[in-house]
Amino acid sequence: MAPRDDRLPTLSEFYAADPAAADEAVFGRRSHGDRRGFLKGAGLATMGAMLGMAIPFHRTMPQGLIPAAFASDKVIEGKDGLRLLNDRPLNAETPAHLLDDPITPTDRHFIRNNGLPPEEVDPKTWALTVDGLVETPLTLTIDDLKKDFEVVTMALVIECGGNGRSAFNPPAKGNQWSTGAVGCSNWTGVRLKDVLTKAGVKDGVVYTAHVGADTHLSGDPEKMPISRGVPIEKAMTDDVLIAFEMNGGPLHPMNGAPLRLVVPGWPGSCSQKWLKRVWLRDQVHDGPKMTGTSYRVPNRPVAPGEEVAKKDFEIIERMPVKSLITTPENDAQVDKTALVRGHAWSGDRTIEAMDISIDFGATWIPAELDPPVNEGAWQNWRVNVSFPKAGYYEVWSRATDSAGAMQPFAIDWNPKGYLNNTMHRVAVRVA
Amino acid sequence: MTSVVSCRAALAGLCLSLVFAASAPAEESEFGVLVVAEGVEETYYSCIACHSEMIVAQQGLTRQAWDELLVWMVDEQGMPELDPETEAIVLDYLSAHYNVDRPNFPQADN
Repeated sequence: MAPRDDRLPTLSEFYAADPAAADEAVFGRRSHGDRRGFLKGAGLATMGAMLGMAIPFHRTMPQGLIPAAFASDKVIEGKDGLRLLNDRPLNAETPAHLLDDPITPTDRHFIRNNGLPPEEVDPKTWALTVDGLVETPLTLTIDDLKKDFEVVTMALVIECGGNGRSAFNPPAKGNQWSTGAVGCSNWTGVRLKDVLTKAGVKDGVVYTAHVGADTHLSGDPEKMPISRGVPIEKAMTDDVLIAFEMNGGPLHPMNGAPLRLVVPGWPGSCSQKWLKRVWLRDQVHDGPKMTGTSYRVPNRPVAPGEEVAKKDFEIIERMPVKSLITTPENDAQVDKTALVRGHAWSGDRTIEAMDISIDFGATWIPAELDPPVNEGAWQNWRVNVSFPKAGYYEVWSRATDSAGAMQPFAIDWNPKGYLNNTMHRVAVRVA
Repeated sequence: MTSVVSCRAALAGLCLSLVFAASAPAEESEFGVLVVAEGVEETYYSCIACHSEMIVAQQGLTRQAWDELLVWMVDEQGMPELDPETEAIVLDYLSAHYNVDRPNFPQADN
């Protein structure tokens, strides 16, 4: 094709020139002999990942048709700058410097999917069931939730239990998150506690069990991709929300629209997306990814690579003390005086001290630290740093929480690669 | 990372290589981000029935750990059992190219 001028061709122009070639180049798509559908799964998977959901009628989709949803020219619709780890199921993390906002914008919030998102997500007809060991089982629409319960907005941290896994050696199985599987957005919804209280929590309840509408990768409708829960004591705290708004707008489809749980400070998997049911049980929930070694760590420190018996694994509850440097960007060139800032958080606790080092941890400089805007929010911090002369530096960040726990330098290795809360290190070049 | 990165650039309308790809196709591997080597075809098609090969390429596991992972997928995740010959090819491929030394680990750009 010949562009009309020296600017680069747009996707539409590229397609206009040779739809079949463009299909193959962009999506890896080859069609059947009837010029419809996808001959192999790869092109369809790529297109589906970029759309954020499956295309039920893919077999009849004409060759060379650009999905209308791509009008905005973004990889994951409604997300900006995320690094794609996996496109089926979709998993994407946010580079640290793009987490610079005090409150994480919707388009910068990470995505961790275990299965395939539901296709029917109409907020008008969505219904949540609350049952199990309750006095009165409830079925509630989102309008019911808004009408019957106090609606609150809170800034809440969600962090994947496996955030930081990529640094494990020997490597641990799973998505190899670096630092970006964390966010603190404003979530609007009702307290889980209020809904459970209305249903009436019976004596003997031990655990919640959460069910979402996402489907298993195998396509088996009998299988759930993930169903986790929390101890009833955690569920009855003030900062666990059933959320229907994110940053004042709808939830992003990949962040659980139209309804999800938000359990701040605990592994993100507790915050069931596409929430359909909360079931109260008289035992620790045993749904998919509650058992075995999922979201569990050994009950003692272990050597890197050590084999650990299944019975010695314990369920992760709160996430550990951690911090992130969001300015400057890793490997940035900075002046001799530079602003360093970021966030710090610790599950069910607050951050009491925030320090940074520019000399590989030999000395530490205290940062100005804001209080959390509410319980369950991360805390923003900043400090002006003077570098003595030109050269290569690393800025390290180290948070200390209200129980005196401080971020370590080295990983507390565990077989499944959870809870890496080591200091964040950012390289800077001082001119 | 091949296909996804070029898709991203393509959709931003900024990718010269796309224009080249249009005139000279077949630069993109039909096996996605997996290293092209003996056994890649069997591995690719065994994996992508359920999930992307991108999750495969991120791992660094011993042959035994890959074996256990396949057993888990068959026992608990609804994967159809591989015939012994294919299974051996897949395990050979994975443990050669995606072992604990991570010779083909997709690097983070941050």
